[in-house]
Amino acid sequence: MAETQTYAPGEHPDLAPPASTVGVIGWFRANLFSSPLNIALTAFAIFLLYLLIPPVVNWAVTTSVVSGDTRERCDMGRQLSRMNGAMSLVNLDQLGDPAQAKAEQEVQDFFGQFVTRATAEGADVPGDLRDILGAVDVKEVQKAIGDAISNKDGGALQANFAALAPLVDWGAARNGACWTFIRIWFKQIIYGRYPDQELWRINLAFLILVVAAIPLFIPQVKGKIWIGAFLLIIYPLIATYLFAGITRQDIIAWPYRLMGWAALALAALSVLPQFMKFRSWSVPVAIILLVFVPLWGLSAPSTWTAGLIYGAPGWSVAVSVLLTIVAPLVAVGALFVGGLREFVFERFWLICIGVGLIAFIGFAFPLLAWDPLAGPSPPWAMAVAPAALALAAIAPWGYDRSVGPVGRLAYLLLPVYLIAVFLTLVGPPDFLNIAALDWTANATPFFRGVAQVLPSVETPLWGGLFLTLVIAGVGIVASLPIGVVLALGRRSTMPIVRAVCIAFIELWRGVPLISVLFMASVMFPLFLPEGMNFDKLVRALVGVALFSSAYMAEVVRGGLQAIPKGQYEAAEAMALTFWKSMWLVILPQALKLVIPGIVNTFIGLFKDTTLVLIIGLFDLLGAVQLAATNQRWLGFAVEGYVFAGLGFWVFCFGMSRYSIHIERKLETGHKR
Amino acid sequence: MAAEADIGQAPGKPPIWNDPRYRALFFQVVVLGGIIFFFVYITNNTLANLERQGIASGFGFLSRTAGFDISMHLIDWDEEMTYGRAFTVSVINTLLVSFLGIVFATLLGFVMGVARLSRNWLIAKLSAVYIETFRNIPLLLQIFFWYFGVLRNLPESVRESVNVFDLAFLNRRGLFVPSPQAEPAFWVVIVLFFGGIVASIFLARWAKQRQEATGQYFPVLSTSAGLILGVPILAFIVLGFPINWDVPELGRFNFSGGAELIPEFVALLLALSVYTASFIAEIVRAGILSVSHGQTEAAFALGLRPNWTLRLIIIPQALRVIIPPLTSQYLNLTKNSSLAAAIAYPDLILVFAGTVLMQTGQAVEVIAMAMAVYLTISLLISALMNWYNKKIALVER
Repeated sequence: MAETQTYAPGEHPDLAPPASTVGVIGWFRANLFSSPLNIALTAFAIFLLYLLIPPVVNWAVTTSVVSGDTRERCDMGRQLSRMNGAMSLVNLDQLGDPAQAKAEQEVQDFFGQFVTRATAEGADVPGDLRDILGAVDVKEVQKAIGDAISNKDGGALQANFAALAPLVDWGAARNGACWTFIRIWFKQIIYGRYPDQELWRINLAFLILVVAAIPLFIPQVKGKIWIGAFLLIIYPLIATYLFAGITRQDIIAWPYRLMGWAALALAALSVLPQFMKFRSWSVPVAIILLVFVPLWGLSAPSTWTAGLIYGAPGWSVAVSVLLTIVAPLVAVGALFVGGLREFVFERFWLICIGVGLIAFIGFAFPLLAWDPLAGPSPPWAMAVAPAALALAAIAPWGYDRSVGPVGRLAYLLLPVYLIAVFLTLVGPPDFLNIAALDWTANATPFFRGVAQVLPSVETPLWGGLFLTLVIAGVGIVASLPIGVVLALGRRSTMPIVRAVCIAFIELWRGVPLISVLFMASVMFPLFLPEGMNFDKLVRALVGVALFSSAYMAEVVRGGLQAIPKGQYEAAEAMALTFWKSMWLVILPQALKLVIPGIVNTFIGLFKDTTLVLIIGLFDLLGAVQLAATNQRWLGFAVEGYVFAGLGFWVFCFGMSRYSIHIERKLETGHKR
Repeated sequence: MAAEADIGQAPGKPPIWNDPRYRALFFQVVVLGGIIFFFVYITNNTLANLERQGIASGFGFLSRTAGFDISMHLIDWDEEMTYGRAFTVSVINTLLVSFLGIVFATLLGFVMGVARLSRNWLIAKLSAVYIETFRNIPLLLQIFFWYFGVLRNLPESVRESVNVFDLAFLNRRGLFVPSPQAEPAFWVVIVLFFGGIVASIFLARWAKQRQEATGQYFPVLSTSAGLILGVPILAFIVLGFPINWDVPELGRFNFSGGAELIPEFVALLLALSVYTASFIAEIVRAGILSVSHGQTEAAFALGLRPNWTLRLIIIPQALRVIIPPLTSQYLNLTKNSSLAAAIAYPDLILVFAGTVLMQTGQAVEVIAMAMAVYLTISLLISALMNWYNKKIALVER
């Protein structure tokens, strides 16, 4: 049969590789059984899996309980299987032996508990159990078992045990995880104690977030910068009002709040254009100024009046009046005095940033934080506020060259502003009469309508996954810019700036977050002047943001150090200013390099949000803990932790996968 | 045009606001002024607030009697002792759990890191599942799980304790383990051990000098191992095992003898080790992968034997990548040990920033002291780290 076949050189067809090196068998040989050690390891791993998987699956899936509205179904299954456990310890031939007295007692106890539960009036008994209970008279059996044990009658006991067989089987199929617990508490775990009829606000806010964020992940979409700007500037305002609603303090001090938000928006809009193609921003900025500066102008008088009524120090009122009068003079001067005008044009971006910062620190912050029920707003706020007005009055001039009509429209502000000064001198109109403190009465109908649609929800009611996302979101959004600034400061050549940044970073990185949170909850109130106070959540947010920004700073510094010196020199040779070279040349490269590090910091931050539990805020873990320690639901802690753990895991694992994906996408190196 | 007229002339002095030096000066003065203002402002507010609330300030409280109990203390403690002593006790508790956590996390982490690179598919996947599970779940949740979910659900009675070979027992009251009782002769072993370390250092120096002078190689590693471990073990055997293990014995209501570890300690240690080990495993893996295959090939091409390649080429290079993040994980573990407060393990945060703060009300001093302890540990380790980094950094150009 063996007929030799000959081939010309090079003509021999390729033979298939040996069967043992390809396919499933080959894979098994190569990956599981390649050497004696490997075989032993495989056996060990299979043994481990055998130890782990069946009990876990059994607990979580096969014998778990999902149905029911009370804990009774879980309890009945558990009591029956504990009874079964005790039954197996009872030796029928040695009834009454002291060694098994405990087991005998337990059989009666657990069965007794079950009977009490199952036969109680209105008990939550599932259909299949009801069928079994219809067939077996448990009360009879309970009595019979008691008699048999006290009479040491093994035969009778065995018969009664046999009668319980269907019940035991039923219990054995229901002694695993009690997901009913999660189902009942689900709303608390997701939303905390947020009122039911207001839940739509949370859902709406997250819906907006998701809808707005989806285009960011689609490569084809253009204009992502606008979406990003919306998410970073407008969205937080929307979300804050949706979540917190309008408080009584807001209603009392509504003009202040309105101005505060306006100032915040202006602060953002003044700084942001510097980082974008800024001329195209001039129109919206001018319009914003057009709307808000008059409001500010109107606010100035009431601020002073309030200061006088509440007894603010005279100097602050005096400075405030002075600045308000000086501001228009500077603005008019810029209009007519050539040198001053050039100066304003050249440093327009600086002025804008100045307006932004002052508007934020001096205006938005105190106006938003001020609690009208506690006392006067801080005097320094009143002193600084007019300075913001002054700069705001100058700001529109910068648009003169490029914008033309719209920019010129902004000049209209000046008269309005002057009217405001006039009003101040003459006296505020009635509707700004701060003496009649209760602004509720003369709030506009629109405002009262808003207050009705969005009633205040105090932050102690916030909780669950919702709170976790709020804290993590604020921390993530706040920590990146602060971190970038700190990293730049740490690499600065100015010794004082560098020292300050190093001290700040090392201090926060050197202490545990929990001590920072303790500080935020205990020490922070001591730092504030009397009458000014922040919500506990806000204090925790500040602590978390500062803490993670220190870590972020180190990550960003790593990226900055990785950029070759030639890039810095090239940017300088192009006569770019420091900020421009950073924004246009260095940071885009550096941040791209450290995306994995940034995402890792985010993941760490996300996990660290659980620590707010210790200062009494109830995030996802806190809500689970609250449910698990509820007196009526004791004993289901493990289910709660597993559920919460799964929640955190999904978010963190998702983020880490996304970072790996980005890393691969941006990978330009050479790999083998 | 004015610009044309300027050609050929030395540029004039720039205006003062365009001069980088003055700008920097101005900016720094502003920053410094802002910071000084900030601190003066909060100090003023704090003093005013403290005065209004009638809270004393200063560190005088440290010498006052504490009057509370601490559930775990390595040095003597009773209620009559001072707050200062409570501070020491709690710092020692923090250091203890951190140190043990570091030891266990390192062991587990290295095993898991190597296992993830194993050529055995099953082992590699199991290790990957372990790592991805535990590092993506918050530590606090893990602590709660071990404490409330596992240890609190253990049987309370002594007889139903989880029994590990009759040596250790675990129940709701804690972990009962054998405790070593050293006999006087044991000190010989300890002295020999430290003597071995000193001798090895001198031996290594001598061997290096000799190798540089003559090229002759001396097996430092095995000799040192013999000196540090072999000699003390030999002495230990020769002296007739001069250590007694006090094994916990089942009593009627509790165990007698042995050492009792409170459940809070066990849960915290377990969670810290398991959590940090998952990070260490990733660091180890990255370190080993970072040594490019070319290095191994080059070493073989030079004729180095595999174990020499491992010792002289791969491990030194992998360690350069591993050690810095490893240290920062150790630091993280130490800082994370502060989560003890959540399950009432008496560490620095719980005892000092919790109980003492509540009793005295001196928030500023207490929090500052607690932060200072962590900061000191961090800065010490960072300094050590920087020194080490400089020593092993690649010298380029």
